Amino acid sequence: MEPLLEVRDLHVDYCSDGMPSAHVLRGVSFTVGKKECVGILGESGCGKSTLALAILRLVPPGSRIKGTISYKSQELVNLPEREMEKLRGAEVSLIFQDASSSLHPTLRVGTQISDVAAAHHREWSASRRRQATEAILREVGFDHVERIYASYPHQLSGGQQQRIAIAQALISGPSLLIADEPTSSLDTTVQAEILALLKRLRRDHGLGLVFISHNPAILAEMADRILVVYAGQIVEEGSVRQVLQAPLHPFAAALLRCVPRDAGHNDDLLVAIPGSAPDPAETPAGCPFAPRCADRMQTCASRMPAEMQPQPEHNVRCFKYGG
Amino acid sequence: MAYFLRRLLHGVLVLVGVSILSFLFVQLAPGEFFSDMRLNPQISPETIASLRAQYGLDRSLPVRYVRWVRSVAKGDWGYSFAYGLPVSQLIWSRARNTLALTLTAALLAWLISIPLGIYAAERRDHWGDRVTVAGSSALLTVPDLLVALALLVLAIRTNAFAAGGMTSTQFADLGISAKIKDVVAHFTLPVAALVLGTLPIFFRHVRASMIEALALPSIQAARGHGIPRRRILFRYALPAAANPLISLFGFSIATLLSASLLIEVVMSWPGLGPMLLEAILARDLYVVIGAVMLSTLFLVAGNFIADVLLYVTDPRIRRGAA
Amino acid sequence: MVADFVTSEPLIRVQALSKTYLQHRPFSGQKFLVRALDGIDLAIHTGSSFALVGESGSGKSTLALCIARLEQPTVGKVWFDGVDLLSLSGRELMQARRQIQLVFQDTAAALNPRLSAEEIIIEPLRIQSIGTRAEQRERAVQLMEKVGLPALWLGRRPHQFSGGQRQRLAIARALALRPRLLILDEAFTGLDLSIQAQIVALLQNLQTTEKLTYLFISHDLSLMAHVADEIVIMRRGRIIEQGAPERLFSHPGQPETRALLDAIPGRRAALGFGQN
Repeated sequence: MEPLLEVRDLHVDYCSDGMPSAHVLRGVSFTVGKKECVGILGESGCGKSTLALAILRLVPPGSRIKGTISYKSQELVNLPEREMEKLRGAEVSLIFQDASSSLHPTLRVGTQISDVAAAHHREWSASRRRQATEAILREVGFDHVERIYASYPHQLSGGQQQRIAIAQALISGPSLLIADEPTSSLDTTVQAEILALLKRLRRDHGLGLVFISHNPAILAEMADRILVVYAGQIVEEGSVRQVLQAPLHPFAAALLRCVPRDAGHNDDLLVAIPGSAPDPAETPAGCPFAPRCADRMQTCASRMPAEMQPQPEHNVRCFKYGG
Repeated sequence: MAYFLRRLLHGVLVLVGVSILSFLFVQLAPGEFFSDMRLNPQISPETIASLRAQYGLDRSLPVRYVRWVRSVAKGDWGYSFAYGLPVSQLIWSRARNTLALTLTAALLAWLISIPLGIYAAERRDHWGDRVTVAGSSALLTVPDLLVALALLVLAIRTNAFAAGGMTSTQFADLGISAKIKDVVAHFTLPVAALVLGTLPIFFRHVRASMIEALALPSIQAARGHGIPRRRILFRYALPAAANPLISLFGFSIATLLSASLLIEVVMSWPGLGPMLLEAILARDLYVVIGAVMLSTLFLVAGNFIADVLLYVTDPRIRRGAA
Repeated sequence: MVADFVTSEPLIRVQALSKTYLQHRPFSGQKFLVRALDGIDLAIHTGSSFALVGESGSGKSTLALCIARLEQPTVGKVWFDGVDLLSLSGRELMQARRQIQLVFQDTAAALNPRLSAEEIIIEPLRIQSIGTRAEQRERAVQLMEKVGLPALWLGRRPHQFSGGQRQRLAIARALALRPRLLILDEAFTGLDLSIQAQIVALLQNLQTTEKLTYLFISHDLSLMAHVADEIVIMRRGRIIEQGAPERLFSHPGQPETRALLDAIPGRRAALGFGQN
């Protein structure tokens, strides 16, 4: 079956003064099927947010994107900006991490949602846009849609703001939604509500979803498949069950031990990963996780392992499995 | 409403403070209007003393201040020693000319700098941006006075614009359309001097605010939702950049006003500038105070307008003010 | 994390603490009474780790600020090591406050961006004029080591540190005056899980070496179950349930507690994140 999104050997360099200063993504390849949810798991600074921005070509000016990104068989890396503008929001939508800063502070939220509709449906009348906006507001869980329509972002709670951002992302009927840590600035209870909403919307709209998070427990609820990203590379890829129950890569295994689990189980202590994620400005010779890895071997420092498939549909880049 | 009352009260306090300070400073300056008469052997000391008494100069400072305040309440703003007229009568037509000059220049400078700043910010580091930034830097290093003199030379050499004054000598005999033409011709030079002096400052602020606004997450998000480029620039980024610019607009009135006083002297514009200069040289102190107070009033008004604009454009300020 | 120097006298005792304030409704100008805290009683024992858990607006932060005497309660009492904190003033209050330090969520506002790490750490010492310049510097080096940061970085400014490193710096600063109680208000919020686990490990070590008592404030019940030995669930200014984490997880007594448990991500995904 034709995938919804196919990314092949994607490289993103951030540049300063025309010279590449940081190698943020180093050859990322993956696919997202129709109605599939792919979870992207990694620490902050690993390049997962850049991946979200790169798909929509929203990386900071001056950065370089290499490789291919095809959406419904259309190549995006070299698409003219005008065509890209039509695609953003209408075909592929983005939900940002912090809704309080991704909404415009001095425009009414209703206007901000209906502006997205106006951008992609120029033929719509003002009343048609208003109807569509109110319908999507109801769909993301608001009761008093007229009051919400006329509100400014600062008059809403964090959870309400994130619902508005979701309404913006969905009003033009995209087939693919990219959500970049959409709940990390929310309370646990509000987070649970937003996750439930996203699950429902995904089912109702038949959306493909790329869900980015640092928390394996959230991906356990949302994802069908998980890509584990470390230092700009995918180091493990498999179904949610494979990656979360039997992780292959030492980083994935270590990250799972950082998840606070239920109390009362002595074996469930948190185990910290020593050290910190490498600086994207430096290119390590070997496996970038090696300095923090408990299982490192001699070869790890000298070269990067190739991608292996020790189990069906479960890929890993680690010398423990050959390569 | 409480917000506006607070801002108004603030403005009134500034005016009162400036009036007291200008009273003090004018007093501290050596000499007074009648000093020169003392040198004249034909005027008796008694005459001078009676003149001083007539204008109240023999009273103590607080008494004179109270008298002046009363005179302001009556609408006279004190008396000019040199003209023997109430200051308000002297100053009003002058102030109107200054205001006309300043407001025209402010309007033009903003109308040019906003689109130019947006253009440069959007093409940041491309050649269009580099050229405008370099041009504005060059303009910024030239003193206002030099710009004014260069324009004067240009006007005299080319004879294209009237150099000096506000109307031609035969103004009264002209028809309506010729009158308008004449005034525009006289406006061009001083307005151009003022615009050239302030444009680079405004342009740089607009550009910097827009660059900052374009990098905001909310603008990124709007791009991510496919909002067209033009709409993002004018409807999303410009309002996000507006707050510092509106505050700058309030100050710009003051900047333009002080620049205007200088340009008026150089280009013999019948505004507050030449009058203030003359009054300072003659120690015609109530005229000086009157001119200072009027300038302050313009400044306060400019800031008040900026506050109103902020209130209208930013719902967060509206809520904070409620 | 119960340390071995626990004594029976509580370090903090709070009795019948309430805080109310008047708020004006926008536009109408109507006044109404907000009960931020409503009859709070609790005791925090020396060497223990105590957690206040609730949604935003539940009053947990206000309670912590009242304990640190950064906010004045309307009624009620707070004892610190047997001393009535609310009756103190002047020098005595300064002395007591030194023993209670706070660490907040890592935000741009939490650390002064213009100061170097060294200046940030020794600022409390300078304010209280403790030690000579050389002694302060030595203390800064020592504190950097304690929180696992290289002393070489003392000259760096906050923006040159990552989020987790900034939080270590904030802890170093809080330890400068050798406090007995550390209040950590959403100190883990916004950090990656991997960083969170590192900070938890650091705090566990410091608890024994520095003889600290912890008061955590968080909305994250699952994390608090790992770091605290007693949890208080707050809602609308009241304590609705209190107990050891094991008990709260296995036998939640209140629907609100159950709701907080249900909100923990991954619990129902049956992939080893729940109780199975």
